Amino acid sequence: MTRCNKKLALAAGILAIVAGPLSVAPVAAAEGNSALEEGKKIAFSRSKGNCLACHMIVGGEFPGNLGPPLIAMKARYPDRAKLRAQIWDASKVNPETAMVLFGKHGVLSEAELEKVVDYIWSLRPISHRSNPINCLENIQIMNNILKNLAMLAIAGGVVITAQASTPEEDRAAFVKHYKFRFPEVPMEEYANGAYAIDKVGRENWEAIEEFPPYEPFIDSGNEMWDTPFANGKTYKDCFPKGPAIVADYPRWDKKQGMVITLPLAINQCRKANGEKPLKYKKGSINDILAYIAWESRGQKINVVVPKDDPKALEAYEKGKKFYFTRRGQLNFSCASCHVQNTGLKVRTEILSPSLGHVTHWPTYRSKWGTVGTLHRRFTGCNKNIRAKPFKAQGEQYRNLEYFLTFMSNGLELNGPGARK
Amino acid sequence: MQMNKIISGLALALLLGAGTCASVAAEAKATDSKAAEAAKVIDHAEKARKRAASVDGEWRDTGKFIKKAKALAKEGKYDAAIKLASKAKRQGELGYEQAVSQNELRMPSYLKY
Repeated sequence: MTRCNKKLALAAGILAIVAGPLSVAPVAAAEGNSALEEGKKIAFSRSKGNCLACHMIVGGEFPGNLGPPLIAMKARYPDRAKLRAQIWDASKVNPETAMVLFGKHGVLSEAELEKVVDYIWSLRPISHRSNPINCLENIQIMNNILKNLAMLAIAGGVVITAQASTPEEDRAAFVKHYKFRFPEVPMEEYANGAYAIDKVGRENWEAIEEFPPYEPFIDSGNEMWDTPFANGKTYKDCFPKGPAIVADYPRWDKKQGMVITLPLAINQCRKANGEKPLKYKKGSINDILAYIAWESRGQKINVVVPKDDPKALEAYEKGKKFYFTRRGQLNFSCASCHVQNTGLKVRTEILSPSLGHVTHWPTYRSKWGTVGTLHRRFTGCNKNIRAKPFKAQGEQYRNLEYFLTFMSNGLELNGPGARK
Repeated sequence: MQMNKIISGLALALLLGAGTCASVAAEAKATDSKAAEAAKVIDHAEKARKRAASVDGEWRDTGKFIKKAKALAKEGKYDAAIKLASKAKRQGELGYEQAVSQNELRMPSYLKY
């Protein structure tokens, strides 16, 4: 080998030694970034992690605020295994958690969960020096953290077995909870449901109420009420006090031994007069209910759990148990959203209080593009939390309606309603 | 010599044929075994789903997974059917556990009496 070639060989060797690791490092970094990107994709996906439903994450749009913002994660979880455990099954640390059990309930596969953990663990503090606008975000983040800590403090985190409380005591506890949660909201405002606490939503709702989308249904229902059945009788024969009869339901029927709701009573009337029953979620049941609700506006809810029949209390208690029981793959109870986290946001939706949930049915929902019943809403809610819904006007939902309506005793009926 | 060649050729053909038959038989046996396994897992999944339903604990997608698993098995896609049916079985078990763990009503601490 000539001296020149020896020098060239030496230079090539040095270059190989120096460039070798450098050529590997960018690929490794790229692979690392790619893994984090995959984790981010799963975390952001609405059908997978959907972390943004409850948590603010920098770079994510329209986050909710049920949970704390996900920043400075290595400082909060120096041990990755603890973060993994939290995402796998948050109920181990807090039995009253509203967090989905991503691992335990198979919402994410093992492989997906590992990627999400890696991504979440990588989330850093936000520096206000690098971006002054983030200073305001930081203040919002701190406020959210403080709000969440306050909620946890209120919760106490200890589940207690149900004491033998009366329906009135249950209702008093509900009212106390919402008064504490929303001290500025007067009791009568809860008749407006979510719009008692959602100022922006309320403005939109009031605008919609100027030209209510449920009006044609009221007219159609009026016609149904006045049109005789084939046998010459009308609804008035079944409901002499009608059509303003919403406040009479739901009620306990001692003879039938069950809770009777208004839609059920309507179909019992139809059957007794040789008419085909109406479907309970969609279709013309909503027309006649809209008319009856319109005529009943201003009446006050007054559900009674009679003391002379223990089965009535049993039905009420079953409804109450349903309300507080977690169900579905996402592991929520009605209370998780509408008591524990009411007023907070899932994505951009404010979770409504249960007080006033039943005042405005049937309801025109923009999502449905039509008027639908309360039990249709129940089935939708159960599907959303990945529980198999129950039959509309079946025992479970009638008992639930019984409990829920009792909680709203004293509130003014204002159906039919318009909602998102 | 000619006869030897013919005999050798026939023997080779016989061996190949026998090998092919054995291979086909083995494959058919493996397929039958997979089909049986798929049917078993689907059956277990359905039992788990019904058990969850009996305590009002059925999850939304369990029934759909079982239906899809049956369709996959019918198409001969046994591995996919077994995987989906196993997922459905696990959902049935989890739904049942979730419901029975709450047999007794427990009032949450955030509701103060």
